[in-house]
Amino acid sequence: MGKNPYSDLPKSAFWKTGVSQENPYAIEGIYKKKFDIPPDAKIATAGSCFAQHISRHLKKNGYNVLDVEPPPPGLPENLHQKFGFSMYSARYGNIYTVRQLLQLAQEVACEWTPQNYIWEKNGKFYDALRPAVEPEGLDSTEEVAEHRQYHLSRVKKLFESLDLFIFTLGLTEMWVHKESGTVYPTAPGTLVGEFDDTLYEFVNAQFSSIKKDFNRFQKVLKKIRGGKSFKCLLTVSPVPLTATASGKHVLLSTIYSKSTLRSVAGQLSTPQAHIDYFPSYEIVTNPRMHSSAFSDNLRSVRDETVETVMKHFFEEHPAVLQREIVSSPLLHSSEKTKEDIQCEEALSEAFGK
Amino acid sequence: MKKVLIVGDSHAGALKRGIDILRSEKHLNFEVDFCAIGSRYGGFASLKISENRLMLPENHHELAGKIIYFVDKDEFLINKYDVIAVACAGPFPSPLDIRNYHCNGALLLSSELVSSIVFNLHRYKKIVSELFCLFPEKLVIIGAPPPSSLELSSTTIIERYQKSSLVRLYGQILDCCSKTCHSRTPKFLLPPKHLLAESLFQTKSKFMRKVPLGDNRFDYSHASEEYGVDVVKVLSDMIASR
Repeated sequence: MGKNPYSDLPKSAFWKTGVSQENPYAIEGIYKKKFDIPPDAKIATAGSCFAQHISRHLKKNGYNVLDVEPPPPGLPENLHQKFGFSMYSARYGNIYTVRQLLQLAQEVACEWTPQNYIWEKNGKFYDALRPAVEPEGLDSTEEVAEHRQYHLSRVKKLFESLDLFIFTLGLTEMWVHKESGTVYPTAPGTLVGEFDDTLYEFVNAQFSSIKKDFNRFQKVLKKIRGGKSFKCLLTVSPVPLTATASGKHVLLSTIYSKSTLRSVAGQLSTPQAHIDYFPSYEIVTNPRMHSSAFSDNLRSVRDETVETVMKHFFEEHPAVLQREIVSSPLLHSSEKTKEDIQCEEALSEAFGK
Repeated sequence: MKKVLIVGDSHAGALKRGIDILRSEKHLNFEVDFCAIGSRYGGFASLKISENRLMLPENHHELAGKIIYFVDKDEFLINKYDVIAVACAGPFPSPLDIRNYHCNGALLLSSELVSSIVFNLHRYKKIVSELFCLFPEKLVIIGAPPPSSLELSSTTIIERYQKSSLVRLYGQILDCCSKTCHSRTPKFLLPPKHLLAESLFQTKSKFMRKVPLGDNRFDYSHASEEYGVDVVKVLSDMIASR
């Protein structure tokens, strides 16, 4: 057979050898890193719910994942997630859309202010831009505003200090406040708030606007950082839509959404040297997996699948070994000891022993 | 003479000193035994109750040197006592150091979150509710003064926090009791008002122990003997009226 453009290509270039006959748990050549992640690189994570898995595994493997809003000492680990702690690098909850991310950065940079972002339910008040972080709400609108200001100050700190920003693109569909363009992570009336079609509208973001939003986000981020450069790693969440408001079948909407986001990620990462794309989406939705990557609801990604995904990641970015475990910055063990000693001393003195 | 068993952590120290002073002045109207265990390694949460006995943990000999404990006996026959007084710290301010959770005078923890922390932090809730369920008529909760070191950097947020914490902690104790002990209400000994700061939730700094701890630090977490004397007087009155 004569030479053709495909004749010298590796097996990963062919569907038969790269997918049909390939081990889906160890796909050769599916991810080739664009840059190294130094062991001391300060990593920030954000995005849709799949990003939590990435964040968790990076921490487990010794990477320096920042947490600018750590859980208060004393809050049991099983309640961290309930209050939006330890999920991402700050307590912003899920950031499903790029517009949401852009607005957060613009708010941090004081370039933009959200409107109509405090929602009420049964006498309690919620930050509609992160409604899940306080599941029982707060007592007043003032309290919500105060909490948000603090949150923004922490996100600013995060944006200023990160070296690598890992973002998982989740959705194209979003609910928007008509008058101000404020984007919410959840539809009004689902978790909290009330739906009013004179106030809110459904928007299904298009390729060009998502790409533009991400590039604008990068500019705002750079401004917040005083021009300091950074790196990005993009992923696309493989988790299908729970529901669509597009009027189309949820399967169509899911494929539209994910395809668009995947294209955006490709178009952003290919020409920009500081942006890498990690194919978690492809590893999970690989037809070779015959949907076994998902749980029975065909939506949630199985833990074993996440392990597989991250195994591919760590082949290119090996686990950071022997990282010094840093204790909570809010209460160091030495302080704890001092406190114990103080208590024991008080007791000894009183009992004269 | 009525017999009192004081069970507690380092906060029992102020009561002990108060009792010693009142005893020396022959003003003590009850007999007292102490079972006070330092809070490191769980404090008196490690005590065991079996039938009528309050006992040190089985491994208490191994723990010697690790846990500081001042007990008059290895076990206490609870039936012998008219009153069991519990003196221990609430869950604040540390390990929940609220100073890290406020911004511009606002507390950045929701009431739900504080409630979860308080509920989970209070290491003594099991042993105290167990004592209460078994001996509802005997138990008196004295607690400990909210550390007035916070008063030094006092802002309304701190008072708000302490108030909400105390109210919630109290609510949780009641809730726990009503669930496990058929709506019986535990008795709380409240310190006399002159010991308290204006907020009525903090103790005035002058009633704190304040002994030097090194590194220019002073003990503002434990109450002084003066505080102990005044609280024991209230306890005396309570016992006399029973």
